[in-house]
Amino acid sequence: MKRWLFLFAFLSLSSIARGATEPIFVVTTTSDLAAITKAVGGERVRVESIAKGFQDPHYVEAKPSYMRLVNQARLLFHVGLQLEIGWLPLLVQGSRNPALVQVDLSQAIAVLERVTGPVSRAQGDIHPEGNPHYWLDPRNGSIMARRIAQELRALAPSDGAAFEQNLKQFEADLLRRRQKWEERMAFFRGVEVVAYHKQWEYLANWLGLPIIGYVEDKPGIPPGPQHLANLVRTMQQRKVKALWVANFTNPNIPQSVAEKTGAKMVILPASVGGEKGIESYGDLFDALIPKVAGAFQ
Amino acid sequence: MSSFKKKSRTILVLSAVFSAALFHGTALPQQSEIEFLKRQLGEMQKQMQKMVERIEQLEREKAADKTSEPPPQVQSAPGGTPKPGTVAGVSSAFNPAISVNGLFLGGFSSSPRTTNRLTGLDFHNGFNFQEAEFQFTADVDPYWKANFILAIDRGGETELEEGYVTSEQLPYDLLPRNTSLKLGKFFAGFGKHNLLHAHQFPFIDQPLVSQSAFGSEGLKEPGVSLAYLLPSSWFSELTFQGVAGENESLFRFSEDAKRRGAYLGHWKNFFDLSDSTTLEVGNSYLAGRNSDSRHRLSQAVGLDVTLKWRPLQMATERALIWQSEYMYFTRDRGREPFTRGGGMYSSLQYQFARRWWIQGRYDLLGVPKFDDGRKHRWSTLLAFVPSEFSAIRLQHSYTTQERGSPVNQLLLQLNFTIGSHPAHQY
Repeated sequence: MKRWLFLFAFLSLSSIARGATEPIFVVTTTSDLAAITKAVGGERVRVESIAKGFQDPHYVEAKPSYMRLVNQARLLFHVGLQLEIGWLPLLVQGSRNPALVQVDLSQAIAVLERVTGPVSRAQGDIHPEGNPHYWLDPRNGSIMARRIAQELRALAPSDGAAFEQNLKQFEADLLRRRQKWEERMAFFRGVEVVAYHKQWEYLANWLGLPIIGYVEDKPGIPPGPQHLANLVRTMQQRKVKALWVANFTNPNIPQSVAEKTGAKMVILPASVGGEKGIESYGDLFDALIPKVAGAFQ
Repeated sequence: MSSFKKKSRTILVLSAVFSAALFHGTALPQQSEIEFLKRQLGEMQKQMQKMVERIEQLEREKAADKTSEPPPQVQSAPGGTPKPGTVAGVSSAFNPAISVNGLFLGGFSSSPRTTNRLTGLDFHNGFNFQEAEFQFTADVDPYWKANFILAIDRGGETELEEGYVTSEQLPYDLLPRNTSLKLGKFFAGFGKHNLLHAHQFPFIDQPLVSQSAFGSEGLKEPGVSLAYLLPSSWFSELTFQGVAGENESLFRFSEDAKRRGAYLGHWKNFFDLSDSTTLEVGNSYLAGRNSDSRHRLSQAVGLDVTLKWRPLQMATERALIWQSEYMYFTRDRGREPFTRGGGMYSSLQYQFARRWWIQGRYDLLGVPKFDDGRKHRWSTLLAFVPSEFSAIRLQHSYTTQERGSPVNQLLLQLNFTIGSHPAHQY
C-alpha cells in the first residue's frame, strides 16, 4: 500500500514538474532527424521518429497511429525532396493539427542529382527535386542541426541559449569525429564502388568514392537480367571491390552479383537505429566507415 | 569527371612509381630499410591525399556557390521549375495534381447475367474496358483541399464518383480542434470496403454483402462529414455524416422519388500490436427515412476487423492482410416482413515476393437471413505487380446459391495509374 502511495506521489510530482517545463514535442519522419533534434534540443524537447532506422523510408505506411503522433506534435521535421511523398501527406492531413509547424530540412542542402530534363515514370521512382538521401554526408548533418536549432528557438525563445550551446557542442563533436573518418578514408579516395539503390551518393561524394554502377537499373524497380549481365561485366573489367547494399534491401540479387564478380557485398545501415548501437548521428558514421573501409582492404 | 580521370591517372602513375620503388626495396635484404621505405611511402601518399582532398574541397565550394541559389518557392507538378506566367497572366503553377487510372478486364462467366447481378461487375465474356478514373487534387486556399474523381464506365457514361472539399482549419476557429470536415459528394464512411474506388478493391469485384446492401455503385451521397479524433492513448476516431439519402438500394427507390435524408456514424479504433502488426476495429450505423414515406426507415449496422502484418525491414517483400466485415440491413417498405439481409466476407491477402500476392476470400449472404436465399462464394486471386503503378490480377470465383445453379467466374484485370504519385491509404 505504502509503495503505491509513493508511486502515486512520485507520478503526480513528476507530472507537475513536467508541466513546469513542458518539453516541446517534435515528430520527425526519420530517425536521423530525431537523433539530431535530440542532440540540439536536449531535455527541452521530446522527439519521436515515424520511420525506424532499419526501415526503408520510401515505404513507410500511413498508419493512423502516426496521425495521432503528428496530432500531438508542435513541430514536424521531414527530409523532403519527395522522400516521404507516399505517406506523409496523409499523416499531416489526418492529424487535424493546423498549428503544426512543418519544416522541410532539404532547403539549405546542396542537393545532388536535381533533375533538369523531362521526367517520366519510365525512369523508375525518380525524385525530380533531387536525391533525398542527404543525411548520409556528415557535413549536411551540421546544416540540418543549424536549421533545427533555428526552428526550436523560434518556438521557445527562452531556451534559445541552451539550444545554441547544444548546437555548438553537436557541431564541434561532429567535426572532430568527421576529421577522424576522413583521415581513415583518405587512403581510398578514387576507389570505385557499385551500389544497389541510388541512396549512397552523398556518402560517396563526401568520401570521394565514385559509384560507377547500380544493381537497380532504375530506382525502385528490380533489375532485369540484361542489366545485371552488363553490370557484372563492368565490375569485372574495373575490378570493383565493394557492392553497397542497405540493410533493408533483399540481399539475394546483390549477393549473386557479388559472387559473380568477386566484389564484397557490404551491408550498410542507412540511418540512426539501423543497427544495434547506432544511437546518435555520429554513431551512424562510426558504424559505416569501418564497413566501407573494410571492404577495400 | 575529366578532372577526376586526370587525378586518378596521376595517382595511378605515382603509385606505379612507388610500387616499383617498393619492389626494389624488397630485393634488399635489410628488413628495416623496407619498413623505412614503406613508412615514407605511406606518408607521401597521405600528403598526396590531403592535396587531392584540398583541391576537391575547393572545387566543391565553387560548385556549392553556384548551386546555393535559393530554391524556387513554388513547386509545380514534377518537371522541376515552374513555368513563368505568360503575358496574359496564365500560369500552370497552381494546376491540380492529376492522376488517371485505367481498368481493363477480361472476363468469363458460366452465367454472365447472374454474375453481373450478383457482384455488380458489369461485363461481357471476353475483353472489356471496365473503367477509367480521373482524379484531380489541389489546395483551394489555406483552408480547403479539393478532390474530384470522375469515372467513365464501360458504356462511356461519365459520372462524378466523388467531388468534395476537406478542411482541418477554418477562419475564426469555426472548426473545433481535432476535427476534420468534409463537404460534397463522397463515399459514405460505412465499414472498410465502401470507401474504396474500383481500382483500390482488394479483389476485382466487391464483396457480395456490400453489393446487396448498397448496390453496385456503393453508398455515395452528397452530404457533410465530421470526423473527430478522440483524446485517447490509441487512435480512435468518431465520424458523423449527414447525407441526402439518394442510394437507390436503401433509400430512394426511383429516380424522381423524394430524398428524405439519412445519417451515419462510424467509430474506428486502431491499435499497434507491434512495429509490424496492427489491428483495426470499426463499427458503423446508418439510418434514413426512405422515399416511400417519412415513417418508413432503412437501417444498416456493420462491424469490420482488419489485421495487418508487414515486417518493417522487408516492407516491400512480405505482407499479410486479414480483413472481415459483417453487415445487416433492413428496408421498411410497408409490407411485412421487412426486406432484410445479413452477410459477411472474410479475406486473406498474402504478399510472398516483391511482385506477387496470393489472396482468398469467402463471402456469405444470409446470416441470419437473406431474402433472396443463402449464397456462398469462394474467390482466389493471384496478383502480379510489376511496379507501384501497374498490376495484373487473375481471379476465380465459385458461387453457390440456394435459388439457382452454381456460377463459375474467371477474371483477368489490368490496373494502371499515370500522373501524380498518390499517397497510399493504410
